Parts: sequence; C-alpha cells; structure tokens
Amino acid sequence: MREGSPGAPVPASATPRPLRSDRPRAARWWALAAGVLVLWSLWGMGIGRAPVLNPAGWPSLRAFAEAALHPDLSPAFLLRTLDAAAVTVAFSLLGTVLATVIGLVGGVLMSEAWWGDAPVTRARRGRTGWLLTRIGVGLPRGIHEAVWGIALLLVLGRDPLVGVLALGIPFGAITAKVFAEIIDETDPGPHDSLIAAGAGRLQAFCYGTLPRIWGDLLAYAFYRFDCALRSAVILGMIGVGGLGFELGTAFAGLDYERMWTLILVLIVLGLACDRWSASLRRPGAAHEAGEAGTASRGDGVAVGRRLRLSFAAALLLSVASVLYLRLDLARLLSPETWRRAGRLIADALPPTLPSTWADLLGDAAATLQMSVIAILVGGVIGVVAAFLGAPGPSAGPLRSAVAALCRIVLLAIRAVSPSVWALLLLFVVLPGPLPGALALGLYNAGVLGRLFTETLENMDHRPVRSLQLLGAGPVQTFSYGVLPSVTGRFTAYGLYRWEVAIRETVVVGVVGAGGLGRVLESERASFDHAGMLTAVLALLLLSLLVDLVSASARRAWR
Amino acid sequence: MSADGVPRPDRDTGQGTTAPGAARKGTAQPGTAAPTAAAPTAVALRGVEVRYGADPALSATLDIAPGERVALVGPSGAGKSTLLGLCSGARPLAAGTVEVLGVDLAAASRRGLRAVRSRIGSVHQGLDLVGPLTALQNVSAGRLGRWGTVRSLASLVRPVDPGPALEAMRRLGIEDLAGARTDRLSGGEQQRVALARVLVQDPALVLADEPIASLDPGRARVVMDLLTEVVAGDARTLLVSLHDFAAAQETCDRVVGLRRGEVVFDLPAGEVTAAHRDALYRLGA
Repeated sequence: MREGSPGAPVPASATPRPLRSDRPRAARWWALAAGVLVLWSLWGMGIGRAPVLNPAGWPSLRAFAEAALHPDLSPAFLLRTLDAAAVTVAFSLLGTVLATVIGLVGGVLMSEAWWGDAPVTRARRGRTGWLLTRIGVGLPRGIHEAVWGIALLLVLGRDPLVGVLALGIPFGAITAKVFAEIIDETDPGPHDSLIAAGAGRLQAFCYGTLPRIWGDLLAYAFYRFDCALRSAVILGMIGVGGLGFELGTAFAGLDYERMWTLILVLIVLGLACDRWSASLRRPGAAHEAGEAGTASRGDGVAVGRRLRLSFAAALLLSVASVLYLRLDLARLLSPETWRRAGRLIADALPPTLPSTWADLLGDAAATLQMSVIAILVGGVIGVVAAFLGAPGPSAGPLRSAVAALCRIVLLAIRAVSPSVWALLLLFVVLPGPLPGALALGLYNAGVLGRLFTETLENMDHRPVRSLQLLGAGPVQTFSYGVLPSVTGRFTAYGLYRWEVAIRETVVVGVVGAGGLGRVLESERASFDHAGMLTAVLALLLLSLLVDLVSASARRAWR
Repeated sequence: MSADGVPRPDRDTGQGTTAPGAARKGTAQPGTAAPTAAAPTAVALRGVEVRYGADPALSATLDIAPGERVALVGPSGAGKSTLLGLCSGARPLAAGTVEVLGVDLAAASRRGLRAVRSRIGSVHQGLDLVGPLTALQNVSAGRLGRWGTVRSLASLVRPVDPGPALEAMRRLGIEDLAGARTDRLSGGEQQRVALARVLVQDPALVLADEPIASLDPGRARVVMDLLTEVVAGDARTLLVSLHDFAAAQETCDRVVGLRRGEVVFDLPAGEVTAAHRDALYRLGA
C-alpha cells in the first residue's frame, strides 16, 4: 500500500504520531541489567572500600622494569629457555593434533548432515545419536584446560602426556563444534547425490563433503594451534612444564632478568604464530568468534599453497615433538594410572563444600564480578585501540604509523597469557579479585581490539561515503555512519568474550587472584579432592548461566 | 519523545523545507565559499578528463542551467557514473575544471567543499542508508551539512527539531515509519527514506545514479515519480543517469548521450529518436 502513487493526498493538518522507536523494549531492560551488573562488579572489586594498591610492591616493580634493560642472556639460561620453548611448542602442536582428530570425528558425528540424511527409517535413532554426541562434547568444553591440567596431573603425575591431553580434550570438543558448523553450512548437494546413488554415509562424506571443506578445517586447526600456544604457557604455570613453568619459577625466585628473557620469547613466539595463522585464513573469516565458514574465496590459491606447506611442516614437527617429549602412550593404559584415576574419583565423590555455602556463593560472585570487569576493561581499551588501529581508506602517513603501532601493541598484549599478566599486576595490586579482573581485562583488550579492528575494516563504507557527500563533517560522519553500523557487532563480540572470560577466571585464580579459581588451587594444595570437584561444578554451573544470559542478551540486541 | 512535530522553519538556513518555491534561488547559503550571487550554471564541466590508468574514462564539456532536468543515457561503462561522481567531488580529475553551483570543486577548501556538498543531494541505486539507525534519523541526516556538531550528536539521542524531516516523510507517504529501524524496512520503503533525506537536505542540485536500474517497471515508475516530486516546485536542478530512454524523455527536459566517455548527442528531450538510441547502444565499431 505504501507503493501507491507518490502524490497521495495527505491531510495537511495531520499531526504525526509520537515518535516511537522500535528498538525492542527488552533491549532497554538488558541495558539496565548490564548497568547494574557493572556497578555491582565495580563494588565487588573493593575500590574505595579497602586498600587495593600495594605500595610495598613499587620497589619490586621498579626492579622488574629495570631488569627489562638486561634480560638474562647467559648461554646456560638461553639453552634452558630454548628447551622450555620447545616443550611448550611440542605440547601445543600435539595437543592441536589430538584436538583435530577428536574434532574431525566429533564434528562429523555432531553435524546434522550426518544424522539428518540417514534413511527415514533410521531417523529416530539418528536423533538420539546426534543428541548424545552434542552432550558428550559439550561437557569437556565447559571445563577450562587448566582444570583438565590439574586433574590430569593428579592421575599421571608430571608427565608430558598431561600437557598434550589437557589441551587436546577441551580443544577437541570446541573444534568438533566448529567443524560441525562448517559441515552443516556446506551445500549438501554433492553429498546427497552420492547418497542417492547408493553410497554409504562415510563414503558420501569423504567424497562429497570433505574435499570442499578441507581448507577451512585446516585453517581452523592452525588457528587452534595459536590458542594452544597461549594455553600451554598457562598449563606450564600449574606445573606441567615448559615456558610457563620456568616463568613461575623465576617469579617465585624474584629473578626478574630471567622473567624478561622468558616474556620476550613468549612475545616473539606469539607474534610469529599469530601472523602465520592469520596468513592461512581467508580475509573476512572471524574464527575467533566461533563463526567459521563465513570465509570469502578471495585469494584462495596462495592461501591453499601455504596451507599445504604448513600441513607438511606440522606433520614433520609432530613426529619430532613426540620424540622430543619422549611420550609414552603405554602409561595411559598402565594399571598404576587406572588405580590413581580410580582413587581420585573415589576421593572426589561425593563433592563436599570446601567451607560454607556462604563462602562458596561469595567466591562464585567474585568470579562473576571478575569476568564482568574483565570485559568492561577489555571492551573500553579494545574500542579505543580499534579506532586507532583502523585508519580508514584515506589516512595520512602519521595516522597509518599510529595504526601500525597500535596493532603491534595489541598483538603483544595477546601474546602474553592472562596468568602472566596477573603475576605482573600482583606487583602493584593487592591479591584479590581486582588483579585477576585487570589481567583478564588486558588480555581481552588484545583479543577484542583485534576483533573490533576487523569489524571496522569489513564494514560497509558506502553509507559513510554518502553522508560525506551531503556535507557531513568528520564527527558527524563518525557518529551517524560508523558508530551505529558497528555497535551491534561490538556488543555481540563483547558478550561472546564474556562467556570465554568466565572460564578464564580459573587461570588467574590459580596464581592467587580471587574467585573460584583460587578456591580450586587451595583445595588442590590441601588434597581435598571432593572440595575441588565442588569448585569445578560451581564454575561449570556459572559458565552455563553466563552462556544462557549472554545468548539471550545477544538475541534481544539483534 | 517530542510529539509536536509541527513543521518549523529551518533555523540554520532561514528557509523551510516545507515551503517549496520560497525565494531560494540565488541566495548564497551561509558558509558557502564562493560567489553564487547569480550563478549562471548549476553544473559546468570544462574540458574535463578522467583516466583510469592509461585509458581515458571520460572527456567532456557540459553546461547545465539552474532548474534544468538532464538525463544521462548510454551503455554501461560510458562514463555516466564517473560524470556524476565528478559533480559531487567524489572523483579526482586529470584535466579541466568542474564548477558546481558556482564553486570550483578542485580549488575549494575542505570547508568550502562541505558547504557546497550540503547543497547537492545524491540518490544512489544502493541507497546507502545507515541500517541500524531509525528512518527518522536517516532522514534528519540530510541536514548534517548544516547542523553543528553538538546539535548532530544531540539529535542521535533525541530527535532535534524533527518537523522538516517528518514533513518530508509525510510527503513521501512514510510518516508512520519514523521510529522504525531502517534495515527492517522493505526496499520500496528504504527508497522513500533515501528520497526524503534528499528532500530534507533541500539541495539546489540533485544527482541520481541509475536510481531505477534494478527495479521492475512498476517500481521504476514509482521511483521516477518520486524523484520528480523531489525536484518539483522548487527550481532544483536534476542530473540523472538512466538506461530507460522512455523514462528519460518523460522526466527530463534534456537528454545527453554518452558513449566511451564522450558526449555523442545533447538534445532537448523531444528531439531524441530511436536512431539516437541505436547509435548509442550499437555493439562493436
């Protein structure tokens, strides 16, 4: 009806209706709730209520800063660092290989294509299989790799297998989910026509689907390696070995020169890995947000060649890693391992309260507050960094230089894992939830800053251009064109990272920052396995809750 | 939210968008850098050359008088979009001068360019609206060229002086949609929002780049009528690129044929014949 004639007579006196906005009312309630949550979290950090800064730590910080000028470069320590770096890389690589194998099998079993295309008579059983796989894969994903590391250390002792398994199991579950999405987003035509021609499910998958998604799967696997490298450092700090272990030892001995050597190696490794993994991704693919398969097929040829080379290199290095770590798979099946696992389970069941319900609730609240502050800090820094880091099409040389610098800083922030940031912050901030929240915030600033930058670069510039053409100035163009276009995306990324941050609180908890992670660490120290299980369950519940809230908030915002 | 919505004169310019035909021609807008006292031409392209790499994309000389309605016709790649881009100062040129509303675009300062752009309305095929904003905000954005920073920012939170915007929306039959998110509107509704923005901008010159290229005949008709409505009454100059000869002859006073970056013919609308059309579109040679 609105397509009628343009000059449709309109009564000249008609007063327009009140300007209702059609942003759903729910979105405002979400905004209000978010505000309350942030205020509550700020209050929980204790700022203004109790001393938070640690003046006694300032001299140590100065000593630490001075040590930056002369890191320990003695041959003996360099050799040790090299060994630690090799161990960390080997953990990450083998963990990723395991994750990819789990992901491939789990992803196929989780995909709707696998079960959905089964002959009609088997549809019922197919549904159950799909559901069971989803649940089986969902559980390990909810538990952070650091918790897996702690549990596996109890069963296997200080064995290199711990590092590989602790990375491989949770990462495998995440990979499976992403692979399933990639499979389901692929056009089922070729696959279905093979099924129609009488091929089995596995044959149809291998011939019809796999060749077309191989590149995407491989690119995601390499991105996982990038994540694994950071997580391997965290695992090292809880005693698994490698760079993280050396870093924790150096910190405990106040050996700042050695800390700097290790941190520099971390940054170099992280930078190299990040660049390399980015070069394997097609432009526009945002794997970090779990949105695999949205890649455009831009410069596919060059990427394809790099992928094949990387694949061959990864295979060779994997064999080398097994030899270097002297992995003994037989240990997994030895009676000793089974006996220890059985005792751990018997010890942990039934879970008991570490202290009182009130304490547990308090720690859960502190964990929640830490995650909120982490996203707040990370979001604010990330937004500023992204606008500095994405100069737009018509930028001068100075602006471009600022942008380049900004990106390098973001990369460096990301390369250092949150637990290392927590250690460093403990110089100046008293132990408690605040240093943990700030450490997570810094790390997330790196991640969010990169995601925001990509959003700004990929946004549609035509509306902005058209505002410029009607005479709008820079501030107006920004506030009317750029800001409204990216706010929704930024919010979605922030909420998504909130889900990740609540799991990561355990990482800063184990180095002494507050929350359930600290509870977990102290129960471990006192061998109270039933108490540990309670803390793990509480964390799992809390992250499920945050997942739910974040998902419905994202829906309301869209 | 303000519900008065009574159209008020636009305080920035002292003219209302609601009063078409008000004495506007010839009055210089505040802040316009150049002498517009009695600009003899709305658009003057003198010996203009544009190149993409080594290939000449356009070389033309063209004068358009104020109030004229000119259609640019020609095959794809003939240089129609390039010519329109030159008129809004969006494309650099290799040689010649482009004078729009009395301002030499290449010589204008950044401020001067903004001032003249605020008097040029652009209609694109892609509409180029900001999706997450409300329709009213998109329409009001037509006045950004005249609004100061503070007022622009305030209007994002709460519509400032929505009268002219609402009036423009009423003229196009979309006043009900003021509060709706623009990206949730249908294609036809978005087209009207884009045209309402031009109306609110109250430009002296309207540039339209193939506004009906991807539309079915019925919709194309509606859009051409709306475009006529936008330039009607007020002696606004219209420069529109089209593939549809019939629409060009119906809407415009003058038809300019472009082929391979050169003006092939430049005739009053009534004198254009099928032979001209065939000459323009013949393949090869």
